Amino acid sequence: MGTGGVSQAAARLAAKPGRAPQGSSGDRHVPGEPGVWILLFGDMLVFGVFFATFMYQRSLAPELFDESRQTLSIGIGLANTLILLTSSLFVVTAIRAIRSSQRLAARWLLVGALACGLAFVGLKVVEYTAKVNEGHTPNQNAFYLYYFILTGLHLFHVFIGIVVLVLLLTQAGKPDLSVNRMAFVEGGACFWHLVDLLWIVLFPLLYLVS
Amino acid sequence: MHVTIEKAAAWLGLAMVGGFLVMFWFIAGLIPPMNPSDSAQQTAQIYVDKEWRIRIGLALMILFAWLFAPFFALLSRQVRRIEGYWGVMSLTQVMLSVTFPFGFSLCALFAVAAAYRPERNPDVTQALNDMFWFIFVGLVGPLITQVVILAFCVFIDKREVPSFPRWFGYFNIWYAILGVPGCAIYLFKSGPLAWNGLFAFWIPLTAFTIWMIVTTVMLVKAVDVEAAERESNAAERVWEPAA
Repeated sequence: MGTGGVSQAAARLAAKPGRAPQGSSGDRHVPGEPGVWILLFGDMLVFGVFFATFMYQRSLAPELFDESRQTLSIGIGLANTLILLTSSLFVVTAIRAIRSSQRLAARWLLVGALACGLAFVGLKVVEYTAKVNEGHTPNQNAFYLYYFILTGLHLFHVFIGIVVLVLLLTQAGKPDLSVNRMAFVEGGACFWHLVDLLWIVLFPLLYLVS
Repeated sequence: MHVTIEKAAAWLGLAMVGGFLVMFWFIAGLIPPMNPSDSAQQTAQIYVDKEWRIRIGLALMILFAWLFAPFFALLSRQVRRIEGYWGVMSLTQVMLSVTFPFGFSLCALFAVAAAYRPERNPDVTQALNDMFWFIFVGLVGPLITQVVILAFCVFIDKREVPSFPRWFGYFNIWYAILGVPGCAIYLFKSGPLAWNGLFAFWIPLTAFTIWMIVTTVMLVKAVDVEAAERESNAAERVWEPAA
């Protein structure tokens, strides 16, 4: 296993290739860099397993799940859906602004996205507090167990997404982004869209589908 | 010689994952996990039934868990190479690498203690059993921190021929995210986040196994990159500054 690999790596070193350019002009542009899609699709896959588990548990006790579903705060859930959709819009326009070197606009758009993210967290706290005060806890029944766990795991993603948005904000002020940094910024934006997408599936699954 | 030793360290880490699965799954029979909502009597009965399987399987783990160390030494060295000196990232890797074998051998000590006198008061066996699962499944912080640092290193590696491909950084973030739910087992006795649950046990176990396989292959390639760099540096008479 020794020398073959070394000579291969030596050949790479001799050729001194730069990092592969992201999508030469004319090709369809994949946002971010290919690697980020390992994270995004990997995460979607696992959430797919989470959703399937929930569906399976619901099929075991459909009446219980439907009764419990009706005690959820659809208003807050809907508000959070709109908030995340708005934040995604902010992020899309921010990336567009970064591409056309409108630094100030990009920063304000990202601040808007961050405000939406924080609003989502705030509403979630209000919602959780209300549920617990009404006596709905994870121990109450299978529906509430999955409600708290699935929304909790999603909230964990929102926290990571907020950190990512802060990172994007630090990059947006830079005068010129290298290819790698731009790919990183696009990848971060895609992660925020993933957070949004997961909620778009989670919201109807928990709050609406009977 | 260096190359062979370092590659052996990487493969040894992967072999130990296989060893871990054999010891915990096939010999001790602790995977699939027992139910955390079992009564003390039920738990104690499992230890009566599997007394010798558990004692043998976990005695092996208490002995062999330390063979994970060279794998993490190699990982820390590669982080050190990217960082360029013994900075915070590489030192943190070293410190947390020290904890990794304890994660396996310390939890095994508790289960062995439970299986050593299974005829005792069931409450005591249950408490020891809880400690086993709390450490085995719940103690995710050290490895997650290591993986996050590793991901960060992959992203900041600006050398012409980086040690790791960039997708490996994203892959590490994926694993870090999936590893975190294990920390919630202390809050649940049933459901997907209990110690036998899908989200806290099965998905993290699968992700850990995949991570070890991918990381082994990546480390082997990083050793090649390092060896090639050493050769070309020697030819150009460039010496690595001591740090």
